[in-house]
Amino acid sequence: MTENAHGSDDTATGGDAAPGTASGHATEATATAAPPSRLRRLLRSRTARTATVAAVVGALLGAGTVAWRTDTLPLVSGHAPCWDSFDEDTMKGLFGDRETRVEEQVLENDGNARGMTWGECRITSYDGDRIRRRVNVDVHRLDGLYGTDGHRWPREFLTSWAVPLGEGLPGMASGERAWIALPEGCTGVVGEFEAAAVVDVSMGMGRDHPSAYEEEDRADLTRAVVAAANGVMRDFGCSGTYRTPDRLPAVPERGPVSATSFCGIKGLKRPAGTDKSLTWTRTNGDGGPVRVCEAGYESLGASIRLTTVVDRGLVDLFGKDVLKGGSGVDGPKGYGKVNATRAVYRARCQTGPVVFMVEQDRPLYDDAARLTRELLPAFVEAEAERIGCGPETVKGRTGRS
Amino acid sequence: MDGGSRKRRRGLLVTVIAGATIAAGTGIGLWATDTGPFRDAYCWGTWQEHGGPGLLGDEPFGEPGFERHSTESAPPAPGRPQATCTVEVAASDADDDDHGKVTLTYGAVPAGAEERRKWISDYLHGSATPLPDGVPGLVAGDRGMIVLPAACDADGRPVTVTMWSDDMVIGRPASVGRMLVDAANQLMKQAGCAPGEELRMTSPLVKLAEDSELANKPLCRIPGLTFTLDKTIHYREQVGTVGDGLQTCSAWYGTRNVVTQPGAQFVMAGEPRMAALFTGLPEGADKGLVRARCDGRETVFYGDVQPGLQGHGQPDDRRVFQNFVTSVSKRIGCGATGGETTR
Repeated sequence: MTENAHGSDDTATGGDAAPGTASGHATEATATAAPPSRLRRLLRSRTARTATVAAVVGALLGAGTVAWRTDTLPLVSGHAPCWDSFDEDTMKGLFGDRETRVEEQVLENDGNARGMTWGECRITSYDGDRIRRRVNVDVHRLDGLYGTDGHRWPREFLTSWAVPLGEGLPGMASGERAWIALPEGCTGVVGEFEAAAVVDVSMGMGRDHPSAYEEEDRADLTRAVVAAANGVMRDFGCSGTYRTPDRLPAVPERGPVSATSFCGIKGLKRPAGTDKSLTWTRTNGDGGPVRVCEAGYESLGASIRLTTVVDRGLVDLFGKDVLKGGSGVDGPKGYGKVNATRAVYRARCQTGPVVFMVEQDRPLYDDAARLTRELLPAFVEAEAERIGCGPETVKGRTGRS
Repeated sequence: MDGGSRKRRRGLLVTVIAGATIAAGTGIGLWATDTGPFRDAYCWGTWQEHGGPGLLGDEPFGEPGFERHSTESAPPAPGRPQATCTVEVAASDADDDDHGKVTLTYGAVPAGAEERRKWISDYLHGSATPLPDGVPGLVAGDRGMIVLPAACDADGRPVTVTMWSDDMVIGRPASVGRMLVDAANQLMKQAGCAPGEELRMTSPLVKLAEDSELANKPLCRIPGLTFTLDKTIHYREQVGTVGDGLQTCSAWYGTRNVVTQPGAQFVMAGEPRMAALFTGLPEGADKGLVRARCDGRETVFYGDVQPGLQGHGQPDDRRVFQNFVTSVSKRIGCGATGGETTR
């Protein structure tokens, strides 16, 4: 892999900015709009070839149950689907020896969609005629302007059961979801009102239920998302490869509620009036792009969620909430908005913008009303201190919000 | 449909041939210091012309009508720790003055305090991104630097390999990084101080230096780094990186990316080879250089307020530096204050 990385450096220069370009940074435009180099064309045709073979084999087998065993493909042996990135181990891990069907799109940046999408890949394995497992790989840029990725995507990918990939990798994984940001060195600096370009992998429902904690599935998805991201980088003509982490942190588990270090945050008291209604908390872990702590009642799903977004590629997922999500709050380093289900505060920390978010998903039985509004200042104060952004005090705006 | 499949067949053939070429190149070809039969090499064989369109592409930057020239001094050798090489790209048409020059340098960091500060403000500039995989260095589109291991030190000063261009973008930061790593490995061998394992950079640049922006109060989001900024003067700031082992912040007076007058620079460096770049400079809070033990290693806090901002610190320049030390050391969880030199 290491020798290979140097080999692929030539590929990297394929996207180089031309002389006279004003900025030293490769921007989205230079990364994708540069005239395709010979190498880039070759990489593209390799993808095209996989698609061609798929089409031919599909035709041979006939429509309807278009399926074949992954290890019997002629010509592509050694090359797995999804932009030539999934090796046999990855495929075996995800699908065993089952028959799979691959539907893979060519990676193209769609300017009509504000350049937010590149392509998707879907692999389905079958047990007879029945779908056994379906894995979707999506290469897209998250929305940092309109807030359209501010709810569903975080609810699936930024959960208290999704651990950071670690080792400096900008991503997270759980048993049913995994995501990793493409490096800025490849797709450009993420500016304000922008969000990261990501590769994400999904299977199953992506909710808080037992298969979301499967450790083996989590490892397989991690390998898949890293491999897919590497394939995408290669396809884009970027150099460098992510390394699959050797070990992921333990699967987060629900634990008792601490009265003085709520959610493991020193100095944060358990919200008043929740003694009966919150019986557990769970935190995905420190040091990653996003820290998520959820708290809930007995076997039910989370009632409240405390999220800290430190990765600037994800901060503006919540930009719309920060600006328009309710009544205003202010502090020396930032500002935010509060409503009944979501309170969001964005601060300028040394490391960059950070979003602190308190969400309430369901009412609490002892009816701690206005929890988001009450909890936000305490959460921001304690959490800012923990991440080296303190001291910070949040106050509600008086008068016009 | 027929036409389409014929095209694909041709594509496949090209792929196979190219695949073989890439495979051959990956093995040893790219590493070889002597040139292949068809490829030119530059700077003591460090860089080789290749099929891509970057600076070293067989057509520089993939543009027709450019030529490449190179000059080089004697290579570094044991007891001769300096060398310089340039690669120049110019339009072949004599009427066209489009050209750019890259300078590759091997040598110790400057001895004089003023020259060293200038060097630090150039290479630890807020436009530069740290290299991944623990390679001690930073890169931008037009510059880059790697600090070599202590075995390469000369006259008690660290030796670095640098790339610099006044007039062009050499490539993406990642490409500049790879060129630098190749150069560093090659030149260390020639200088006789190569470590057992070559420097390697396989990971991508996950985060780049931020874009520059109008100077803020406080500067670079660091509490207490507050200067009185003349409203009529266009000051800019740029945050290069904010990590546990390195933090950089530059401010200048000028237009978006052109520095017309340096303003200030602040650096925290805990990574040992990065910290070594500051040895020999006068120390003390009043001189903008203090050391503290943070997380078990000696960490350097450096601040240089240049004429453009001198005397603008609130309440004064020395206090601003102390605030820098206090704020950054608090962030990385160590108790330095800048009030005194802790050892």
